[in-house]
Amino acid sequence: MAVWYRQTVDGETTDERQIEPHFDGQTDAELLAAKAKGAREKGWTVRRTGYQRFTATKDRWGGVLCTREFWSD
Amino acid sequence: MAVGYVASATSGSQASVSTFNIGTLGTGARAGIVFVATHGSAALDTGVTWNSVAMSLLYSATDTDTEPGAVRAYFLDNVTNGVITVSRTSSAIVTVGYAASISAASACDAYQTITQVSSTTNTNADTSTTGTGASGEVSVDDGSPGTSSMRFACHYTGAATPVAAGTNSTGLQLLDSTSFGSRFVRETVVGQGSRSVGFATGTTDDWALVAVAVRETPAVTLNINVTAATGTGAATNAGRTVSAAATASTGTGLASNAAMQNAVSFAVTAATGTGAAADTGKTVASLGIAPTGTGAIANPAFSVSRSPAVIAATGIGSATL
Repeated sequence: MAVWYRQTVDGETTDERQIEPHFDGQTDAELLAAKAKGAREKGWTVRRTGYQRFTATKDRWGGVLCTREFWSD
Repeated sequence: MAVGYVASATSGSQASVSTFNIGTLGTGARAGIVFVATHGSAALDTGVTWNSVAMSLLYSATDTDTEPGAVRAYFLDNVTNGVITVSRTSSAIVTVGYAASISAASACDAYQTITQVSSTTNTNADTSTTGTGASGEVSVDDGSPGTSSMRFACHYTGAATPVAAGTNSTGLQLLDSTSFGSRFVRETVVGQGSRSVGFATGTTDDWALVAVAVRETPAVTLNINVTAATGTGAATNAGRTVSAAATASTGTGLASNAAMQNAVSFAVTAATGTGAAADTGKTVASLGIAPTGTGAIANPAFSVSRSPAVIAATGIGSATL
């Protein structure tokens, strides 16, 4: 099991990338929760989209909408 | 011999403090390198000490917009075991320090530093600009000193997680500040010349990178012989980065070898009589045969690796290198 994310900017989507746990033994749910908390703190709009899955959106680089999808497989 | 990796440490996330420690390193090490990353603004670090000795700030990379951040590199040769401490301007913004201790057979220096922000890359200079950049490795040269060097790199990114180590690199430390991050890597296999170190490709985001080549400072292979003037004069070898042996003057004269370092054969035979043989203010050498009688020979502004000899003036005169 692992946590993944991919990013879409201006309609262009990157490959999915694995997110490393922040410490040994961190569960996927804990890592996803940390990511969601951090994203909110940095001004991203976080929306849950399913079980262990959420998106974060924010205008970046002068107003370009950036969407990040996070999930656990 | 070659430069080698000994150990690394990280401070972890640091905010609302004016100083913080990275850890204790230095056992079995010759030199140390530190990167400080600021997650969310221009650099907040103001200095680094290694066992209470100030490290030299090399260069910085600063991403100035959207999700700004910065990386700055510090270097110190001849380290001793002790605590590495970062001073910073206190604020709620996160900084993190990464350190590595480095083994070597002789004195080391940071030969080349690459700084990169978005698509702008500079060599031995700061980079500060806006925009996003593509992640990847960068080439860092060590000047081919004769022994293998090791390259180190650190990036800051606004991506959702720190970018992984690149093909030629080994991850050492990282801080994932959720929507910001940084990672510290080293070159996996040491070598000479222009070689790659850094991070995986494929992430385009806010990006600031600093990469440094740490090498063993090459010994200067040089023999300089200065035979001083005869008469009243002086043979001087001041202010040069070579070791030397001086044969003192006979008569009224002076042979001095002040402020020299490193491993080079140097011989000065001082003046006899009135005259001077001077070897000041140079980094290495050439050949000069001084005039006889009243005169001087000058060989200024040489730079490295020839086998020089200066035979100084006889009579009233000087030989200057």
